Formats: sequence, structure tokens, C-alpha cells
Amino acid sequence: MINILLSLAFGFLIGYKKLLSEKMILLNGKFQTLVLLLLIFVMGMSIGIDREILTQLPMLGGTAFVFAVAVCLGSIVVVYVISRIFFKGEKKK
Amino acid sequence: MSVIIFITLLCGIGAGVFVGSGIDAGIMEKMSSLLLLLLLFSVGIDMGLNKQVFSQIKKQGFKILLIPIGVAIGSLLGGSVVSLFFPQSLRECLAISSGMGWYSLSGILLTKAGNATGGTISFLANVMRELLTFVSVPFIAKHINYYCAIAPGGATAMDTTLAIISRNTNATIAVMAFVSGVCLTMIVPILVPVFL
Repeated sequence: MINILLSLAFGFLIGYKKLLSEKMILLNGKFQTLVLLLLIFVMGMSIGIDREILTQLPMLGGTAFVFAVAVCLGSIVVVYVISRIFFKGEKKK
Repeated sequence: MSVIIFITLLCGIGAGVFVGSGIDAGIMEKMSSLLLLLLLFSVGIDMGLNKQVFSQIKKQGFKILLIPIGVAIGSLLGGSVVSLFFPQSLRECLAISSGMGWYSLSGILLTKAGNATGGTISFLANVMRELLTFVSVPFIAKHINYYCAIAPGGATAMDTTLAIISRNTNATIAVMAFVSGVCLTMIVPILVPVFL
């Protein structure tokens, strides 16, 4: 938790103090996409090497998937309603 | 973007299955923590570059809390619908949905309460919630609205899925997502035991 805050804050300061050139800012966007994909790959790998997950997936994976879809849809619907009522005046995009 | 992410995820899982126990799980965890910190550093730069972030957040005031409240209510509603079609009781479904994507904690809480099967379902469901977030956020941001892009991530919107939200929306929404993630992270340890 503290590490997360520190890295965000450190990055924020660098951005806020305008320590980066235009070129570096563009590069930061590309860097972000690259690291994001790497992170997703590594997270996928952690699931792939976890034997316990793999043995339980055929039995409980279906139910778990239904839960995952249901909670995602439920939260999207409620936040949509809230955004239409309370964040109406603001731009949606 | 969604497609690229989905393919990357599948490749990762495939690589993991292929390598098998050849790699220590601890190393993988260290690698993902390191990547996460790098990613958040980069997201932080984006947030800092946008000078209006704080004035916009200030303008919204308490309204910002409506997002995590909405995510929590929506997750519980979604979970309770599942109890209509599956053998799990309503309480169990609510406990599983209360994980908000924090899979390590929610799984353990159910398992420790004596429900090993529920614990496993909760673990898997919350892992899948995080993965679904990665895949769906680009689509949601493009076709529904930016606020909804915060929703599927739940508690993970403060760390692992913050970058995908920030990348597909704007700096203000990214800050709102972070706040929402922090709020939801705080309520998971309180909410899950309520339903056990």
C-alpha cells in the first residue's frame, strides 16, 4: 500500500514539476502500455504455473466466471445510473 | 486494446502452463510487484501533468464517493442474482461478491470461516474479475462512459487496474478510480465477514 502511494506520488511530482520534455512525455505513454502488457503477461503466467488453480478450474471455474461477470455487470449498471443522475452536467468522455 | 490485452493474458497463462513448476511463484510475485510500481510511477506522471485534476476533484466534492458506493451496491446486486440460479445461498453469494476483486483476502476469509469451496470460488471469481477488468475497460470507456470504466475494477482500481483505466479515460477519472479503489479496499475486510 505504501509502495503504491510512493510510486504514484513520485511520478506525480515529476509530472507536476514539468521535469519531462514533450518527447519524454510521449515516451511515457508508450512505456505505460508496454509495462501494462508485461504486467498482464506476468499475472497470466502466475495463474498458469499455479497447479491448485488449474486443478480447481474445471470444477469451480464456471461458477466463478458467472460470479465475475455478474459483479462486473452489476457494478457497471449501478455506476451508469449514478453517472446519469449525479454527473450529468459533466462531459462523458 | 481489449483484444491485445486478451491475447497477452492468454499467452501469459499459456507460458505459465508450459513452464509449469520450473519457475518459482515467489519470483513471479516479485516481478509483478516491480512492474506494478513502475506502472504506477508512469501513471503518476500522467496525473501530475494534468493541472486541473485537483480543481476538478475538489469541485465534485463528496460526489466522488458515490462511485465506490455504486460499485459496492452493484457488485452485491450482481452477486445476489447469481444465487437465484446456483446452489449457493444468498449470504454466500454476497460474501463472494464482497471480495471486490481482492482475491487473496476474500478467498482466505471464506476458507477460514469453514467454507473451503466458497473460498475457492471467491478466489477464482475475484481473479477473474480483475482479468475481466483488463479486457473490458477499453470497451466500456469507448462505448458506455468514463465513470463506468471505474466500476469493474472494484478494489483493484487503486493498483493493478489503475493504469488501464487511466490509459483509456483521463487524469480526473484516474484519480476518481484510485479513490474508489482505496475505499473499496477498506470495506472488503469489513463487508465479507458480515455475510459469513
